[in-house]
Amino acid sequence: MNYRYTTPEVIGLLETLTLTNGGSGDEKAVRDLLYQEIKDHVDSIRVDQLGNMIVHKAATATPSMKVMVAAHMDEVSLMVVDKKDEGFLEVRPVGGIDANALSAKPVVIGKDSIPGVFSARTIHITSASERKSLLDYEKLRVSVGKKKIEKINPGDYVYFMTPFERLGDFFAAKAIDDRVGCANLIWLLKNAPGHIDLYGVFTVQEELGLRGAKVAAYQIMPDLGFAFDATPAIEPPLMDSNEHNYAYNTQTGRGPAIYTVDRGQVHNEKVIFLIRKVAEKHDIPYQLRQPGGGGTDSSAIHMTGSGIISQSISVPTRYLHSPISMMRQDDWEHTLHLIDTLFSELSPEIIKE
Amino acid sequence: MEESRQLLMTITSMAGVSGYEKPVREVLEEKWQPLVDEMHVSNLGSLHALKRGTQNGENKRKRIMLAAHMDAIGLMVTKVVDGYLRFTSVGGFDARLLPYQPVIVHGKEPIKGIVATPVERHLPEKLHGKSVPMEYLYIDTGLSPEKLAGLVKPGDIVSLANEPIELDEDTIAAHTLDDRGAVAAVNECLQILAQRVHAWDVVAVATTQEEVGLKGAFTSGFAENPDLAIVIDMGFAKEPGASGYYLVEMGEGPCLAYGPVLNYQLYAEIEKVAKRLEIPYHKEINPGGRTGTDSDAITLTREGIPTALFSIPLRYMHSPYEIIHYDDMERTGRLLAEFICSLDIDFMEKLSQGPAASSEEK
Repeated sequence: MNYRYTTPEVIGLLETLTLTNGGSGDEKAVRDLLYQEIKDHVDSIRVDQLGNMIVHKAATATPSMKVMVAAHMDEVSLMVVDKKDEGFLEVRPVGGIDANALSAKPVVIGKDSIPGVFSARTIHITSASERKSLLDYEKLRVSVGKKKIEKINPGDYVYFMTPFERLGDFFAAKAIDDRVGCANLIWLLKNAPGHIDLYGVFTVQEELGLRGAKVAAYQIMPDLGFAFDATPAIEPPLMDSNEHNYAYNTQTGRGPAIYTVDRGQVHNEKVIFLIRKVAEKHDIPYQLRQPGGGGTDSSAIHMTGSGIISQSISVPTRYLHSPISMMRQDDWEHTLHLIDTLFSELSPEIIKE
Repeated sequence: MEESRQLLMTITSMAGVSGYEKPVREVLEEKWQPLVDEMHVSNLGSLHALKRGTQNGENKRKRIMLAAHMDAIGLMVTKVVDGYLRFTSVGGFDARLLPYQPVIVHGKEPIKGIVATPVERHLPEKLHGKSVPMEYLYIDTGLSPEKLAGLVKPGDIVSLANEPIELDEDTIAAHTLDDRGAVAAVNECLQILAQRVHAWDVVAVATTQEEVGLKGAFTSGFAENPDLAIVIDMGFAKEPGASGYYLVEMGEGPCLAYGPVLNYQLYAEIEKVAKRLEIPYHKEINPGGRTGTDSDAITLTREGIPTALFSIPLRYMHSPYEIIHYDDMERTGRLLAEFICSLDIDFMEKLSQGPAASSEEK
């Protein structure tokens, strides 16, 4: 496949973004990186009270429409809540992380990125019944060096120590949710068509309940909103070959996921039909995300003020909210292709009944 | 000291799953070549490195064998299905620590992957609220089903792929510290002995297949037929959620095992050396019928071999990040070397049946 959008430069940006740590409330390092990346390409940039970075690229053609696109900077992370003796830290998640994903995983802690590893139980001295039980945050600890523990305090953020790698047809990294959305928004800001008065918002605290997007949309009051995100693709091998997986949410290799109904929002059918029309016209694979739980910044935008039509376009990704997630390059490529063609064909007609 | 640490960094970055120890053995062969007089590899793959003693006389020189196993636990592919791999373990794993672990699948070529776990709704109801058993976990390599099937077959070995991390200047976290940490301690001993005079022959053996039933130790013990043996393995350091008399602090010296399946007099003589040189140690009480180490094989070799067991305190044994304190590894090497240098021609006369009068200093 010929990759027109996910060039080595674009991939390099995603790599840097995923290797940068930014949990909810601690997005500064990611924001600074994005600022450097976009500052020479746009008309204005400001950071609001919650830490959202609002980037404006003014329209150069008329008639124009005011479009807000949100991509969240924060990733799921953890926080030190207690410092036990003997070099053991007690931690809790900032955002949703299943404790069962954590045993024996390497992390870095605090501003100095002190290395640590999650505890594991020694098989020789545990009972079979303990090994059948789930892990939980009350039992898990993070081990750090005795000589380093004095530099760690309750309240320090804890991040996964995960490299950015290619695995087969995929990229494997932490924080693909939602650094891929950030990379897509950077691409759009650099390549936006002239009739779009574009407000790109790199939001904070999505993982704690779409908190940044709520206040950002209020400040902008766009004609139309979008969220660029990553969405779960739940597609394990099944034990019985006669079974079918009816609960995949999305599948990798089938292109960008167009949200329809999630926990927070019934997406607008006119926008969905426009997306389908554009995708089919340009032969871009796409999929409608299975209705169900979950949600993106889009649902915060659509409930702002007297209501804003808003749509989520997300890249299907395996193992979100774990130490390592996996996204196919072709899904990412098709997502950017769809964003490119869709924004060219957006017109104010879409929001007029 | 520095050299043993560097060696440890090198060999804990390697696979060397039980039965597939060759890469580790090759590193040790190169490292030990200048330190010993001769080397050979046993039929089961164990590396024997002999350093001759200075004792002369009519009798055959006495010989002490050091045994540390170079194999490590790992995984093995059981099925290639839908572009994923099912697997089982080689050696004992708690399946709860495997999800999202990076691995290398040793197929036609080395392939990186991660262990993944299904969400609860894809598990049978009887497993809801319980940990996911290993047979439901799978390896995701990101390769297409066709490509994966062409590269990987059931029976291919899978090793852990995480890199070692130094938690501070004293502490290393890595996979395969059990028992590569002990191999590094043997290296430390050989480095010290290279500068010293000792009467006895020393044969350092990096054994194979300990994790699947002490196979290398059985056969190498038979081949060497030493007068004495010391096995070096790992002990249990304190870890969250564990309580037990056998748990020790890291950084306070090696454990010297004491119990009926080891030789009491040999323990007492080693303890004397540790006390004389003020090398800290833990007395590890082992009342059971086995130690779970190569000593179980060597003690019962031929007509029986008096054997001692040193254990380096290790946290999170059989996990992708086992942790040890460098000082414990180095002190183990030093105590081994000092004990070996203290061995004289008549040493065997000190060993008799039953507990010593006192394991404490008389």
